[in-house]
Amino acid sequence: MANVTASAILQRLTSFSGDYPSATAGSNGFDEVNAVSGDNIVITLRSGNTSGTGGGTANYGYTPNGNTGTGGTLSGFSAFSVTNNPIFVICSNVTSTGFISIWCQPTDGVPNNGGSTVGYRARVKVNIIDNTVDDIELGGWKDGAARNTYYYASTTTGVAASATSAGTNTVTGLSAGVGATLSVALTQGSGTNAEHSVNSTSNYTSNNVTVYNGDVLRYRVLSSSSYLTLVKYKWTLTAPGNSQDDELRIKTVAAPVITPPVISSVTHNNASNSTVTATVNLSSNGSGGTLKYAQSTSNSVPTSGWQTSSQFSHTRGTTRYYWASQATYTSGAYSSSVSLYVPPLGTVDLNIGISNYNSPQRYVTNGNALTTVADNTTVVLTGSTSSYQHQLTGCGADTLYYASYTSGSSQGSTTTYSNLSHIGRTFTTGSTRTLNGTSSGSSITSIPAQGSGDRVYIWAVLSPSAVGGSNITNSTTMTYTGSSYIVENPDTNISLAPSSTTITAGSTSNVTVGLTGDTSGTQYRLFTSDIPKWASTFNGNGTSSGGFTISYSQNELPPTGSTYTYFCQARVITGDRDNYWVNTGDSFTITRSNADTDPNNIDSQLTDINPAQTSVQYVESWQTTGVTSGYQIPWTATASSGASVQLSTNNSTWVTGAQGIQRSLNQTGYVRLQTGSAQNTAYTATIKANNVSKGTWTLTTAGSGQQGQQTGGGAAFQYGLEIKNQQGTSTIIDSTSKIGTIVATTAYSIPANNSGQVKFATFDCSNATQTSIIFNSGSQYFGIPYFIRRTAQQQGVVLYPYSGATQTSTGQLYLIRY
Amino acid sequence: MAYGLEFYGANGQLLFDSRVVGDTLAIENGTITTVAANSTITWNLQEEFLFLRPSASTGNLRGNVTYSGTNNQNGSLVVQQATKYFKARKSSSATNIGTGTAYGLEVYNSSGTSTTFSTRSTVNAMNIVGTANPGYGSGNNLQGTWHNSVVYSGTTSDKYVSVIFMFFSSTYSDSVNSYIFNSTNITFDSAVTVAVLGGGGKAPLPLFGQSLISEIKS
Repeated sequence: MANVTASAILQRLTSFSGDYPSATAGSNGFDEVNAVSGDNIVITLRSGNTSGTGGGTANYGYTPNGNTGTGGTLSGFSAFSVTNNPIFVICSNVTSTGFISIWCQPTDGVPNNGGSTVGYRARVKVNIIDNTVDDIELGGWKDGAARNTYYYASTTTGVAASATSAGTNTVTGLSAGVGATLSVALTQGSGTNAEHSVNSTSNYTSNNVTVYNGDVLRYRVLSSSSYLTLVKYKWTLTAPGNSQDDELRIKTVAAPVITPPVISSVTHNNASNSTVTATVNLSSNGSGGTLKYAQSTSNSVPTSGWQTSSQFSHTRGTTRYYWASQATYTSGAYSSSVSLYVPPLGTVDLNIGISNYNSPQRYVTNGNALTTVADNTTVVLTGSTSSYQHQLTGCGADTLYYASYTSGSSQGSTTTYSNLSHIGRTFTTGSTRTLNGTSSGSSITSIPAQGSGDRVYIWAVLSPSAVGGSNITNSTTMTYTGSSYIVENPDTNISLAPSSTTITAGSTSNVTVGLTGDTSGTQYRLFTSDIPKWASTFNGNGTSSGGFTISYSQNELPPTGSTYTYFCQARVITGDRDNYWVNTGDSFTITRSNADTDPNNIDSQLTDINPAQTSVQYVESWQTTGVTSGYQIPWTATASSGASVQLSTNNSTWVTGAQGIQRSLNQTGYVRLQTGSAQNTAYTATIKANNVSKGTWTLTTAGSGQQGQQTGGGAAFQYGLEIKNQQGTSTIIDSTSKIGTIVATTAYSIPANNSGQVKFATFDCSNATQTSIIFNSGSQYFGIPYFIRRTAQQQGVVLYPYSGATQTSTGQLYLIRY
Repeated sequence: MAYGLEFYGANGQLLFDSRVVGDTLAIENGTITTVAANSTITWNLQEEFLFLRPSASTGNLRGNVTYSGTNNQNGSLVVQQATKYFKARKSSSATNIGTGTAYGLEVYNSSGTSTTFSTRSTVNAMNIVGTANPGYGSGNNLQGTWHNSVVYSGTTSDKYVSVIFMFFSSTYSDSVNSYIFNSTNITFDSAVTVAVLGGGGKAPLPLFGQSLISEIKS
């Protein structure tokens, strides 16, 4: 039981219209309270005053009385006084709505209609209210529920919850304004979700809500995501005076029996695009669930992306895994995966290389073998070779390569297949592949004409068998790879004649060799590794005439005792080429005989003198012959007893015979022998070459009767001829005379740069102390020729123009003997 | 010997051999002429040989030769110094200086039609004492007679050299085919200034043509 408080001030009866104050009249004397049955109403009652509605002392000394219609029992009345104001009137254990009416003395002087003379009154109204709520009903439970599905309470006993319709409860039993709290709590199973709505079909919440009498309630529970699993929630409606509750249980169905589908294949439409459409093909659809398909990037069953369509977009160049399932990724419900790789579209690979060609060894200009790899792609056809195969490297698997004389300007430039007139192509797919002729396994037979070269260009096209490839037609676009090579066809089928030759040790002549079988456009040269150098070049003319000249002056001939082998090399000089040489396989040799350093005997050049004077120097000369040009021959001389011998190279500077001199071919040596003092004695000079005697010069002194005065002039002449002039004043001739005698005359005419003319060939002009050559030419400076004396054996002189001569010099020569 | 005359000198030298000669050299008219500097001497190259020396006992022998006439047969020499000269020519064409035939020696050729040797054409005899070969070659291989070569050693006071060409320029004192007569030798003098050497350099030259050195026998 609860105590409900109320208060009132006794009011003069005359101050209001009725018998008791009401809420609208004499309100200080009226109060209204709510109470539940059994409560005690405790009224604070105060004394009124005599002139107003407020408290006062008017009721001091008086004890109020009262009665009640609430079923309760009044108590607590006592006389007001200074010390007893207010007083507390208690109406205990009220049971029904009604008034508690109180009155008190004195009378206020106005008779009341009821005959009572009590002048003061107060009243309290007690309203008995209901704070309990009626029970709620959620209806029957649900078994075999679908998983993960909201089920709504039917709110009808025996009727199971439904996934599609919701039943309702209306709150009853509460007095107006009395609220109750609706809450929900899990009571069994693993929590999913439980919600309720108030006066709504959609605004569900799991929060506590306050409801009032007449509110319409709906309930729902989310079923478990697992098979055969229950979950139970309890709703409680708690009112001030009581609470009501009910539970709703949802149990999911047992797991179905599923047969997974079986993927037979995954195919695609091979679209010429970066993506294709892949289709999952089944050999069995399976059962027990919903057939769906999925694609994944790895070989793990996906948890999302399941679809009912069996077609997927598949990017080329990737591998995808395909799945089929009766219950998506549920274990046991899906198929084994099938992977599919869709290759990317084929591409044309232009970045190829051309292998080195196994051409014959080639040579650079100086004769060194070519070793620069970059230059070795050139095909050089020699001999009777009329076809070849080449090799390409770095070839693209999707690409076919065509060889053609049709040029491409730069990598990537294009033309149509009909413009190629290809001479060869590839037939294989490897990175390194053979460039055949126009049929598989064949060789390229379209080669440049002999004596020329041409460049072959490599074109590329997507292979028909490549992804995205198509058959090659005349309109097919061909793309230049930027790679090319040269084919050279020099004519090496030539012959050299002679195959060998021998030259003398001293030969200064050039050697020629003929070349036949040559072709115009091919250039030939001779190269010898003995020096090494190239010796001669000849441009083929197709007439089998002409050939090589190996020059002496260019030091192209072998030295004495040596043999040089000259190899013939060829190259093309027309068309595309890289100007290297190849051996034709032809060669010939030149052998120079050994040097002859043993000069001829010179006895015939030495004129003995008999008689000779005693103790007199005589000079003789000889010329070195019979040796190889360019070799210095050491000459020495010895004298017989009593004589002394000297040698000279110029008849001017003399050295001892033992010291000797050196003379080469055709050079003159001078010997000076001084006779001894003995008469009738043969004094000899033995002249040696290489310390071997080559001649003896003998001066035999006269006997005693032959010797005369050796100094001419004066009166002491004992011999000879002396002629004086007419007047006898001058001696025209005596024993010391050297009369100039014109032995011969000859005209000369010698052009500039002439190699020399022999003059006075029948005269011994070797001794400058006996002969002289006089020019009468009318020329000046270098216009006058000079001469060199030949040996006594050769006779004559050789007339030469000076190198500075500019025109032909003419004149007269006089050979003077004196 | 079947005909003619052959004789030798004291040192065994051949003086004369009528079998091989065509003609001997004789001093024209036997005349030795002296001219002053800058005088002109002319001679016929077809018939005459010009022999020169400075009139002084020593000194330079220089001059300028020019040619004219058919085949340049007319030589003209302007000497740079007082000069003595004579012209030698064939004995067969030389003019006898005397009118009589009662002296000397004459030798005819084998046919008897030509005088190959005669002492009647001269009062002086020219005696060949040497010769200078022409120069040739280049670099370190100079042969024959070049500038500064000694062409004769010995007393020079009676020596003459034969000349067919000479040149002299006073600008740089350049001389070509010239000679310096020293007391004891004759030196060939032939060098020209090379302009590119700044005027200070001389290029040596060879002897153009051969020269005979002759003395006058008297």
